[in-house]
Parts: sequence; structure tokens; C-alpha cells
Amino acid sequence: MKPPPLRWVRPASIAECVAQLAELGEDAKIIAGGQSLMPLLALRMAAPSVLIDLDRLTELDHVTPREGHVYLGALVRHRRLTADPAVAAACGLLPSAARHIGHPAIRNRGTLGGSLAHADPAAELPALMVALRAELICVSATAGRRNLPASEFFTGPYSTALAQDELLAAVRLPLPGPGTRYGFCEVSARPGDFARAGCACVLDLDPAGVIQDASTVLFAVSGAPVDVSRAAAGLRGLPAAEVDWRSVAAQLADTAELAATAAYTRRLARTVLRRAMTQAASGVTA
Amino acid sequence: MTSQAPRSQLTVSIFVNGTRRTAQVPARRTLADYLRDQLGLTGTHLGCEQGVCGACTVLVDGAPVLSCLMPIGQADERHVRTVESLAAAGEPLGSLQAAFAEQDALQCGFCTPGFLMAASALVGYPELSEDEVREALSGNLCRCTGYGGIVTAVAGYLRDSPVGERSPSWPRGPRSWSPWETWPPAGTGPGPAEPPALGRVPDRVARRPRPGAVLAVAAAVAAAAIAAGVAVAATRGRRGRERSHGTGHRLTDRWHA
Repeated sequence: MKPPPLRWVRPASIAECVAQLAELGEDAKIIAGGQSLMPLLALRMAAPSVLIDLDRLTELDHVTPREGHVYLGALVRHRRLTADPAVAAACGLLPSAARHIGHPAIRNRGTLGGSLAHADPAAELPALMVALRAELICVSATAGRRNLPASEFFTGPYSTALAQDELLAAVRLPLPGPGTRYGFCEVSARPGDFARAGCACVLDLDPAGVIQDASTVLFAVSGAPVDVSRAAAGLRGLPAAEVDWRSVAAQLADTAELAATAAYTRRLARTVLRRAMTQAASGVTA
Repeated sequence: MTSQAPRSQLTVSIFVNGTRRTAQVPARRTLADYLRDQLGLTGTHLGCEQGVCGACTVLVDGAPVLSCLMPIGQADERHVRTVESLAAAGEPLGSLQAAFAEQDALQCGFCTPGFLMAASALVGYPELSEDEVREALSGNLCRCTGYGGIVTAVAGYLRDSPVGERSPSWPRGPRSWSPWETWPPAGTGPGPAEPPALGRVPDRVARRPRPGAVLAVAAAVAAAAIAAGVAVAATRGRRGRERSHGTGHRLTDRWHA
């Protein structure tokens, strides 16, 4: 089908964009790359009367390291995540994970902010943000700017804490330390397909290889990213090289809140946990 | 400050196959519908209209894009290349198209324009392996040939294409491992930088002009459009919200049903 009748506006700045969001209220929807919203329009699952187009809002397309963090603008496209050396330098997890998003033509258009605001349960980037302990920077005309931890942003399938009049403008990630190791694994029926289960793992090791922190997040196994870091806290103090990752993965998969999901999903969860955590522990750049 | 009010009709100016086209277009219209309905460039096919099948793939500023997912306002001031740019009407096929014909890389032909445009973005990378070609084409669905002939045609064509024809959208960066994973992509972003002509290898075409193939494809398209629509609809019905896709990575027979 075709998108329903609608009106179109292209703000020239973030300030103009949030002013329009405040003015137009619930009738308006932000569009960036359109790779999630356009199918929803064609299927008539969404019918906003106005689209606010960010496609040319270049002030949202940036990768900015600053004071121990890197800021990624909402309009950074998936292709840039996979390919920009500045992204790889700031976070080695992003390029390897972003390669799993859709196909080349989709990665050419789709954006970081769009994927996060859409909050598909099978999407990679929301889980990455939680695993990386990102802050999501939201801007509105009335409340100004607020930074939300990723763990509080994703509230359910296709649901976020973003207010009606807010724009997700950027994310802020801590830069990796010398002992930061990444792991990522995803199982899908075919490359580029939606994930059936996936896991992102960020291990922090001290110089002796002892685990200081094990941030571990599953996706596509529930309505929102499933953070199993609390259950993984028992890994602290153990040398990464001596951990039996198979049994750790089995325990974490059992503790994760997956009770409502099928046994197959739980098996997949175990597999992706083991692979991602082994990869992180072995120090191979994911 | 809100300088603009939302509009239901947009005036857009788009470079289509090198020619600037200016038109009044409803804001809801997609680039695919604009190309087909307003410009009569019906070589760009619509299969699923929701970004799954890849039949509507065109090059926007040199990079493959699904034209069914691009609202017309986002195409303003961009360079769009459609399958019609590969060979003018009545002229011999372009060399990439000829490679498809030689390898029997099509049956009904409905998906072919999408494959041709996705493959066009790889021109100038003779070193691509078949696996890399498969990944580059993984967003395009074919429901009748399987993918072997298509991959062979594209990989063979790229091997034979002169390096000087390297597509501007895929500069080989120092750390890039494949042409669709490079940054920055020259030629993206708004602006009038016209991508050079896509590669032609006149020798092969001159030896084997295949105008009949064009007619055959044209004749098959109407029926194929219906068949492909049914196939996609049936697939989605069975698989729910999952996207089916593939260029043969672990493709099983049930996906050909």
C-alpha cells in the first residue's frame, strides 16, 4: 500500500524541530532515514498527519569524542557506524554489531536515532546502548535537555521513555579503557534478517586479566533489551581466561527474565551469551 | 522559530539519470511512485512496498537505496539513477545487463532491475569475491532463478569491468574490507556532484546484442508483478513479521515455495 495523505516539513535546526514538535503535538512524527517508519506508513500501522524530516539536519550527524565520552548524533547512519574509523576508535562494538542491521541499502539510509526511538525488540542498537551504559540525550522546547540512561529509555516493544514533544538528539557513550573488551553475537535465519536472539557483552578487565565488570545484554528474546549484568556480577574478581563461559551462559540464560518465551529462545540465549562473552574474554576485537 | 509550515504538496527538483526534473508532488508520495507514475520510468519495480524485496532499488547519490521507502521530500536535490540509465530504449543492453542475459540470471525478470542497480554500486571492484557479492545483493529477493546465475553474472562482470570505472560511491578506504563498508562515501549528501556513467564494456555487447531479451522481460513483467506480489504476500502470511530475504545464504527450498 501507499503512505496515507500527510503534510511535510523540514526544520533547519534542532531548535526549529522541537518547536514544531511542541506546536504540532501528537499529529506529528519525526522521520529520519525512514527505514522503519515508511513500512509502518505503507502498512497503515501509523498515520501521522505531519512528518518532520530530519534527513538534512546535518547538526545531528556527528561523531564527537569529548572528555572521556563520545557523542554520536541521532542522524549517524548505520553505514557510518560500520565504516567510519572515528566510530571504530570510539567504540569497537558498534561497527561489528551495525553490520547485522538489515542490508546495504537499508544501512545507507537508516539512522542511529531512528533505530533507538523505534525500539524494535529485535534491533541491535538498543541492546548495545544498554550494554555500553549509554546516556540518551533528549531535547524538547519546554523541558530543554535531559540525559536518560539507556536502561531507563527502553520500556517495552516499540515503546520508549521519549516524551511526545521530545527529540532524541544524540547518545553519549563512555570511551573504552585499556581493559575494555567487546563481544557480540546474533542468530538470525539469514544474514540481514531480524535477529532471533542476540547478545552484546562489554567486559572490563584489569591488567592481570581479572574481570572488573561484565555488562551483558540480550536482545530479540523479549519485548525490550534484557540486561543480565546484575546476574553476571558474580564474575567480578575472576580471571577471564579461567571462566567456564558455557556454564556461565547457561546460568545467565536461566536467570534472565525470559520465562514467557519458548524453550528454543532460551537455548539461543544460552548460545549467544556464551559466544559473545567468550569473544569478549578472548580479547579478539568483535 | 518556525520558518516553514507543513505542506501537503512539495515542489521537488531531482536529478534523474542526469536530467534535472522539477515537479509538484504530494508529500505522501514515495520516490518509487514518483519515478513510475510521474516520470513513466516503470523499470523500477514495486514488489512489497515495505522495504523487504529490493525490487525498487535505485542509486541515490551513487548508493543503493530502496525507493519505496524514500519519501519524495528526501529525494529533493539528489541524484537518482534508475535501471533506465543502463541502456537507452532501443539501444543494445548495457554490459551488466548483457552479463545477466549470458548467465541466465533471470527468468521472469521482475526482480532484475533491483539486482542491476544494487550491482551497479559495485562497479570498479573487480576483486570482490562471490561471497562479498552475495552480501552486497542480500537485500534483493529473487523468487524464480535462485541466485547462482545472478551472483556469477555480477562477479564475472565486476572482474571484467575496467578499474577506471570505479563507482564514486564506494571509495576504497584504508581500513575498509568491502565496498559497502567504507566511509566517507563520496557523492553522498545533497549537491550536484554527478556520478560518472556506469561501466559499459562495448565489445561484449556488440558481439551479442540481445534486444529480444528486453522484449521478453517487458512481456513477462505484468504477469510476474502479480506472481511476485502473491509470493511475497504468501511468504509474509506464513512468516508473520519476519523478513524473508536472501541471495542464497543457507537458502532452503521452502523459501522458493
